[in-house]
Amino acid sequence: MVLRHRCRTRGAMVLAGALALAACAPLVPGPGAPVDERPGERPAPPPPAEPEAPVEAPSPPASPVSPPVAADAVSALVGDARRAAAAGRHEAAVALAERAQRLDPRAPEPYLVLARAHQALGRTAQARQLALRGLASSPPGSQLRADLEALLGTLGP
Amino acid sequence: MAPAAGGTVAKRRAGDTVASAKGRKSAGRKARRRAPRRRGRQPGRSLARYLAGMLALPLLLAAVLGALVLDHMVRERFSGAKWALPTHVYSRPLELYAGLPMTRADLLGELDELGYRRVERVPRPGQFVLAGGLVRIHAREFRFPEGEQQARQARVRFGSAGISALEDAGGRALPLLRLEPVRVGGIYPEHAEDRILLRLEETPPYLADAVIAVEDRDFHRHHGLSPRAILRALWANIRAGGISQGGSTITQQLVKNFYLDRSQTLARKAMEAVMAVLLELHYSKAEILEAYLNEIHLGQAGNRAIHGFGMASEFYFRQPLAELDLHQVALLVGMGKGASHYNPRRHPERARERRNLVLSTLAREGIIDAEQAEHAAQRPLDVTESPGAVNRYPDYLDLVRRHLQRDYAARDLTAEGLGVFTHMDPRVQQRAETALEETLAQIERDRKISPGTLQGAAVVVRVGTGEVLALAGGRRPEFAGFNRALDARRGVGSTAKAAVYLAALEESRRYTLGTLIEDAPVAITSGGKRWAPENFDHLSHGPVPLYHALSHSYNQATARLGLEVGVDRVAKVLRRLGYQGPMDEVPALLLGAVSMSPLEVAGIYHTIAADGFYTPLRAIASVGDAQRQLLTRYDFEVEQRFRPGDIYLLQYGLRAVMREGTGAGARLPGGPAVAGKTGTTNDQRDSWFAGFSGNYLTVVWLGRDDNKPTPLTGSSGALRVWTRIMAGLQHRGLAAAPPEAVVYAWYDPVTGEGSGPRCEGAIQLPFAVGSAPEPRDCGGAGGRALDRVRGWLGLD
Repeated sequence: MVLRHRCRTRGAMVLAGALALAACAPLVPGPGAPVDERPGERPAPPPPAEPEAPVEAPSPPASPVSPPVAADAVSALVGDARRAAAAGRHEAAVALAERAQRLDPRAPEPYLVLARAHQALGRTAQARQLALRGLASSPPGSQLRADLEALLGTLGP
Repeated sequence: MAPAAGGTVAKRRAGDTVASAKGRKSAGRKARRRAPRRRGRQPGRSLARYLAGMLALPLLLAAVLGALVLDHMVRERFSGAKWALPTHVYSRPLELYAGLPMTRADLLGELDELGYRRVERVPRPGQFVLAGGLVRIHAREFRFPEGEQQARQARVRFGSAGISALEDAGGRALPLLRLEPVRVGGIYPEHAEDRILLRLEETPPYLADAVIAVEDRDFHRHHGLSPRAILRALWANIRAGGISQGGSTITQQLVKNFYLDRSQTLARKAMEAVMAVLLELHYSKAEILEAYLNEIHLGQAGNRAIHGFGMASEFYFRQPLAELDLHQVALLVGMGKGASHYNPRRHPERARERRNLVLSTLAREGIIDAEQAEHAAQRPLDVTESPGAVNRYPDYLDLVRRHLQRDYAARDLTAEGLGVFTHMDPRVQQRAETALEETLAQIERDRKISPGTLQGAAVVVRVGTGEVLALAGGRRPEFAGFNRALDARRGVGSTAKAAVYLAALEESRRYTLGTLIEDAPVAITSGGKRWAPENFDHLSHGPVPLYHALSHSYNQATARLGLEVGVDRVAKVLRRLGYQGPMDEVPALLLGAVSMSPLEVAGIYHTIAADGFYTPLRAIASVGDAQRQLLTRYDFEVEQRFRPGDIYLLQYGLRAVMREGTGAGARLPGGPAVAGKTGTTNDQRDSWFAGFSGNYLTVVWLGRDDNKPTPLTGSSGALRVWTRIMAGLQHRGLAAAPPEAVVYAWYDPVTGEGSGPRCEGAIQLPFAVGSAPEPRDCGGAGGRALDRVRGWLGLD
């Protein structure tokens, strides 16, 4: 506990030397550590100070992006939704696009279809928000992004 | 059905007057015929004639009036909606597709819930075949409020990661197969009669014939009463030395159940007879039989009465009536004599004997041949172990009922036969209930807490759509009671800290994840009260990076940060995240001095999990009427409340909780990237955990109903339940790639300044564009230590 207080100032840390610095290293439990053996809200010592080498733990590609597992199913439903919309059945288009969205809420296509259907039904504010949602997960430079931006342009501020 | 019945009523009304007039005439003739006989036997003719005349007129009038009243009763009840129909509540429909991370066992579990039967050859609707790793399903047709879905066959192949291929019967790739939803409960009228209305033409083969053969052989010949049946019963009763057989026709039985009470008085029997004749006068045999098949009492589930063959089929076999085979039909028909006495779950032997008796009756009457009867008699009862269509998830149903009450009158919910299509996932629901129940018992054993004193609640939401997939409001999920997931408003503790850090991160010029904040004693006076929060370990940890203060849930650092940012701004962030309940804008709010239900906490964390897009949590997708025509759709609604970059930074801090902070004890299979936050209130009265992956958000609360302290923190209590629920689900990790407004930069957690890839202790940290620290070049390895010391001493 004394050591933790020493971590407060940089000068003290220098004087405390390697022992103190080791005590301040982050507490990383081994895999499978039982939950109830964790010290609860009891905080671990302060941040990494003197590891052997640069720590790259919190680097951006820490976890692989999951593959779009439902791509074919989403495409099929988006296709059905587009056909429903083309036939003027916008409520049906909403229902179908929401099924697609449910399969993969990060897929942007269903949001474009939803936004257009809501626009056609006169729900402009909701259409705008749906377009924004689609934009948040559409890749830069894609046709879809361009479509969503164009749609947003027609929906006003 | 209703228009046809109405038309019949209109047609018959004209004849009705004629019939009544005839009735009056014949009553008059009878009175006149009787009078002379009496006259012949008694002296004092003129007096008798006078008295008879005095009595006959009122009797005649009373008889006519009585007949008219009964006639009115018969027609009024029979012509309109005959029954108050409960609302039936369905789960989400399961969508199967190649790539769905679902195990074969889970699919078989779903098919079992739906009452699909395993067969060996090409399946009919409602059946499936197992062939190695392949499951061949014949999905039933189903009427969704959005439209009819046809029955169709499909083959499902499984690989190591779930469904590897989905094909149609010809082997062509099928993008999608939607199964029908599971009926998970109902909302019942006061007298709690449950039924699924069926039309005569929808009944399976043999049902109508079997009912007639067993209950009323002369049904098609009599006019409501059957003298032959009465004589037959009389003879049987004389031989038995007591009442062993009734002579009631199907029409009489319907009248008895439909219009009259259960008393056995002579007057009631007389009324029953008159009404049976009137019913036959007004309505066709088919209409009467159809009503009888829907009215008959065939079982009891607690205080809920199972009426009609449609519901009985779901209750005993978990199958639609139309799919039943001869042996199942015979079992149900046999139960008409006494649903409790012949209950196949309680008295299987008795039920089997009765069923086989029905089968031999059918053979004797020539409805089936002897071979069919013999074959059916050899079959097992085929009754499911647990009753179908029971309210197995009362807590979730409670949520559904409350949402419905916003748009539907109470009477509509218990009388109109509505179909409510929810987002509940039975597999997730069962996991949440089991995890809560078993982990609470385990914690009580581990911590030597008296059994049953700990309580809890859990909510599981699909990230991105805001659909509530599961909701458990306490232990013993089968009993409806205090629904803690909705009604237990408890201090949220550190789970509220996310709002403090988000409010800070929105000010990217002032705060980054790397900003050092002082974890040191803090004391202020607010509203005349002194507020001086301490850390859980009663220590102060000095200057720490912002993300570290969040991941380790430091109270003093958070209080200082929140006071700098402003309590009012933090309160506004809580509102924007979706919280709508009461809240005092006092400094203690920064550390979670606000009471919320687990569902409300789920609403807030959903906005964080869904990249800053707020969506009201939803339990219901749509509501259809009794014919399953769409009444209401509850569309997905969304509103961007935060910049994706700011949320990404907050999510990074919440991921650090799971990696190195108070949530680091949790291990999920496959190690998907997850984020979350613990919460513990004063004296450990409440233990919270709110955490999410890319597709599931789960919030768990544990505590005591009497609000007494527990030995649990968020980590040692709620996190255990959370881990158990989440470990059973198939996750997508959180998105690793940052939005455009965020960049990663090298950072030194000790100095809180920029660093470089070759610097000791350097880590990469995400920053809002424009707020990343200046990079440093530490050169070769030799220069690193010196650089660090120079940095500490401020010599740069």
